[in-house]
Amino acid sequence: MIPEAYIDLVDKLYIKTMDGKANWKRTAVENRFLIDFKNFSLTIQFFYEDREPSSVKLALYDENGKIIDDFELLEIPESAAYDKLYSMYGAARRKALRIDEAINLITKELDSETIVGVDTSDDDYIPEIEEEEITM
Amino acid sequence: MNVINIIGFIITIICLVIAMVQIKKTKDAAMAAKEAAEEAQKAIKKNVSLTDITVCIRTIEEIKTFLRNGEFKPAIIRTTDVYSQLVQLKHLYNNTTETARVNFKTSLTQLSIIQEALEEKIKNESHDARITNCNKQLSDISKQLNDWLGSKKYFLT
Repeated sequence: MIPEAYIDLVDKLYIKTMDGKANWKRTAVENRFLIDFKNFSLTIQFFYEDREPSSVKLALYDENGKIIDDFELLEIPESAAYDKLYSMYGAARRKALRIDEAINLITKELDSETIVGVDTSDDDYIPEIEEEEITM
Repeated sequence: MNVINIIGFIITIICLVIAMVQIKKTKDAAMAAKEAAEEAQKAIKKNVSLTDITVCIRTIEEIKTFLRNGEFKPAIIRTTDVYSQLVQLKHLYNNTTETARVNFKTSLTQLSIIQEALEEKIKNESHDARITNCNKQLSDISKQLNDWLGSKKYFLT
C-alpha cells in the first residue's frame, strides 16, 4: 500500500511522468532516478538484483539533499499500487535515459528514403573513447 | 560695550558653524571609512567562500580518483567533507537565479545519493552503484560549481 500521505502526490506525479512531463534525471545508482522540485527532490528506485520479490522505493529529500522519508512497495501479485509505482519507474527511466527520444529519432531516420547508418569509411572518423565501465 | 558683545557673539556663532561643518565632515569621513571597511570585509568573505568552492572542486576530483582505484572508504570520507562544506556555502546561492539554486540543491542531493551508494557498497559488495555513474555525477557537480564560480569571478572587488 502507498502511505496515505503520498497517495495524492503519487497520483499526480504518475500522470505527469506517464505524459512525459516530468524531468527525471540519472543518479549515481543505476536503477535510481531523481526529480527536482523547488525545495525538495524525489527519487524512484527499482530493486531486483539479489532480491525476491523485487521492489520499488520512493524517497523524499530536503533542500540540503538529505533523505527525510521513504517508502518501498514489494512486488505482490495483482498489487495495483506496486504496478503503478513500477510503471512510473519505467517511464522515469525512459525519460532520464532519453529512450523514447532515441527511438523516435531512429524511427524517423528509418522512415526516410535515404540509406541509414552513418558511413564512416570515407572520412577521418575517430570514435569517442568512453571511460571503461567497471562495476564497483 | 554692546558693540564688543555683539562682535563676540557673531564670532562665536561663526566659530560654532565652522565647528559644526568640521564635525559633519569628520563624521562623513568616518562613515565612508566604515562603509569601505565593511565592503572590504564582504569582499574578503566572498573571496574566502569562493576559494572554499575551489577546494570543493579539487576534492571532487580526488573522490573520482579514489573511486577509480576502488578506494571506497577514503572516497566516502571526502564525499562527506564536500557535502558538509557545500551545505555551509549554500548562502552564496541566496542572491542567484532560481535555476542556479535548484542546480545547487540537485548537486547536494546527488552527493547524498553517492554517499548512500558508497555506504551500501562498503556494507554489500554486490551493490549496483557504478564507478562511471558516480564519476559522471561528480563531474556534473564539478562543472556546475565551476560554471557558477566563473560567473562570480568578476564581481570579487
